[in-house]
Amino acid sequence: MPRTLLDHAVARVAAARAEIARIRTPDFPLAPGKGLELIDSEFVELQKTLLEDLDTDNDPEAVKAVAESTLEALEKYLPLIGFMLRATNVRNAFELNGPLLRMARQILGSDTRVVVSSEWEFSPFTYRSIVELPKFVLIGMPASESGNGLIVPLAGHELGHAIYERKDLRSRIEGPVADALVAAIEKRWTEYSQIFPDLEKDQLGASDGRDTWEPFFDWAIDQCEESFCDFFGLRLFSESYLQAFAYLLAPCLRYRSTSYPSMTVRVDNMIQAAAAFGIPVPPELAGLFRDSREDFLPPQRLFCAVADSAVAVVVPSLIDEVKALATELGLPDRDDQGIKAALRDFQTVIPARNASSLPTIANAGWAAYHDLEIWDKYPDMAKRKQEVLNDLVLKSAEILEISQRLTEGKHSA
Amino acid sequence: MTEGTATLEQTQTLRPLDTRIPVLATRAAVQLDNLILQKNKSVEAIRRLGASLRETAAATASAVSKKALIDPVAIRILRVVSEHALKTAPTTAADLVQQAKENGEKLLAAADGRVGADDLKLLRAYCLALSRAVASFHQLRQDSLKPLHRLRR
Repeated sequence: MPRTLLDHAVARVAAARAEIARIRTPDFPLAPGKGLELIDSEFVELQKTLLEDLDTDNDPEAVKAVAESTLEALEKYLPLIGFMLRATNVRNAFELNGPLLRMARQILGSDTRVVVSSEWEFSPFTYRSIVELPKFVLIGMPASESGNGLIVPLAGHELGHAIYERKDLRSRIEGPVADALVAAIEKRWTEYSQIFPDLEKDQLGASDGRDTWEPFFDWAIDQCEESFCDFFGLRLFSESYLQAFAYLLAPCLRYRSTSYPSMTVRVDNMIQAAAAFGIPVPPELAGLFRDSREDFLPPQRLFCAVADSAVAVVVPSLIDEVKALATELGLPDRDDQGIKAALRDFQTVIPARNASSLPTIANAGWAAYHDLEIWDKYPDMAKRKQEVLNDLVLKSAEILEISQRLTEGKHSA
Repeated sequence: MTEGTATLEQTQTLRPLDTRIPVLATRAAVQLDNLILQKNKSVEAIRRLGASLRETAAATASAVSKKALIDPVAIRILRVVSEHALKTAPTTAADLVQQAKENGEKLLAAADGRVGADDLKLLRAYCLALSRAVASFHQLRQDSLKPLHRLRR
């Protein structure tokens, strides 16, 4: 085997490690810095294999496999390195980091690390649990909104993904989803059998049948996870989750993703969950949304409809799952008095002085946002309402964090 | 406060579809190749992959015994691996799990120098196929979740 392939791989890994070293300055913040350290350790493993285990007399397939692994590692880790770097950008609302971390630790355990960063995609997102970064929760906000404190409730959805994985909820819902999917196919057997003419109806549960529906079984599972995360975010942040969701996503994104329920179903599901959680729903909410375009070919349209039907069957149990989790984790209920008190502070253009939680601040923030007369007495403020309100929300989060640290200090003293 | 580095060695157990399996399986294939070439080098990846495969078998066996309607994803991957690496690949979920368990044990035996050259070659092929299959699974999943952008190609 010529050295070229090995040399290229060695050089690529060295370049990646050099980049990490350049970024990871001594004053780099702790959580993203730790993330970079762990990513670097993965490159160290590869480097060791390249330099110590491999030589030109090794099996060419093995050499190619290692070279391929370096490409995969670069593809996998470069976006993460960028994410860690952008977490330090001043566009981010650093005031939210402390309260979000506190919340994440209550949900996921005291050793959880949270990195909030910005992304040049117009969608909040999280990275799925990354085994190389154990106990990390990475939350990305669209760069243009990453300084907007009012959209922090959407972080609740991303925390939902983390708890979904941590609790291995997928394994619990796979069976019911598969049953519901097969039932939905049976109902539309005439159309289905036109696409798979050699398949017998009673084979649907057997290997041959499964091969036909496994791809859109995954769609249904993804939709269940996303629905669960909506419910979790809603339970965590109450109506402010719905407000933030509407702000960022209403009326809809242009194309339907098979990984999510259709937009109107998604909103209906959240309204259903809000009723189960005792959370008020803004009356105009449903009217703000419409469905994205579904430019599917006929078979895909049928598969998607079948997946949607299966998800609809499972949604009530997902809502129950979130209710049970909230009890298990001791998540606080919506604090109506606290929201009103924080809103009164916002009405006089001061940060919330005694808010008990980030959701309380976010809910008061959205109530202020929708109060069109809130600062009639302060015309200068009213002109810059969004900016001033955002400052109040972020300052309130800072006060919350300071008061919680002081309380913890008192208890540990 | 200085924090320790969680290296691969410290995180001993990998789950069946761990994103680190492809690299570990590749490294194990290289180390098996070194055993075939009778080079005296590290066998750490072989040992770790062996333990991980045994765990995969244990984790998926219970799901298989429940006769779930859908095969666990691990089974789907094991099927792909088997078809690529072996001439006579098992077809049932239970046999695939058994094969993963046996290969896990063989890898551990290989790390202890108790496996002949022919079996080492088979294990090397199995590891290479495993690496590719798990990497493809994660890649496909990643691609399907990546937001599409109308200006992006």
